[in-house]
Amino acid sequence: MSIRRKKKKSCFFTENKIEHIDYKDEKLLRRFLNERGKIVPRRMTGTSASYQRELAEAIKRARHVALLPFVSDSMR
Amino acid sequence: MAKLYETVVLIDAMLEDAAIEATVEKFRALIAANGEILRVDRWGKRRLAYTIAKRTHADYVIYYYNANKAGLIAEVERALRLDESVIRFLTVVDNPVGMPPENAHAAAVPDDVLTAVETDDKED
Repeated sequence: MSIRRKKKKSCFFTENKIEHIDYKDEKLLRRFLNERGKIVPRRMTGTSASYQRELAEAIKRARHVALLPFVSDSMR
Repeated sequence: MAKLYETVVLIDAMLEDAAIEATVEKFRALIAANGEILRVDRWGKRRLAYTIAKRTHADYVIYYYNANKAGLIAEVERALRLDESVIRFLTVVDNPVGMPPENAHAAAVPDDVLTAVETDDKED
C-alpha cells in the first residue's frame, strides 16, 4: 500500500500565462535546472508537455550562448 | 509581415573597449546595408557559464532586425564566423514574443559579474 502523499503539481507556465519561453530569460530557466545543470523532468516540476518541449529548446539555446552551463557541480 | 530576426553575438571581453565597439559597429553596418535594424541591445560584459576558447567573459550584443534581401542572414553569419573577436553567436527567427521591452535586461545583470571584469582590466 502506497502511503506516498500526493501533492498537486501545476504547470508554472500555464499558471503564469507565459505564452513563449525566451532563451534569454536566464533567471526563469535556472528554476528548471538541477544543481548539476540538468533539465528537471516534468514529473518533478509539473510542467505541461508542450511547455516542457519549449522549455527544453530554450534551455539548449541558452546553453549555446553560455548563459547556462551544460554541466556544473553546483549552480548558484 | 517581415520576419523578425534576432542575433546574439558574444564578443571577446578581453579586447579593448575600442575594439569591441568597432566590432559592434561593423555588424550594425553590415546588417543595416541590406536590412532594417530595429534595435541593438547591449548586455555588457558577462561571465560565461563555461569557458569558450579559454575566455571566461564576453560582451553580449543583441541585434533585432528585418532583412530586406534574401541571403542577408547567411552573409552576416559568414562574417561572424570569420571575425576572430566573435566567440559565439546565435540567430533566432520570428520569436513570438518579439523584442523585450527596452532595457529590460539592464537590471538583471548581476553586479559582481561587472566588477569582476573591471578588476581584470586594471591588472593589464
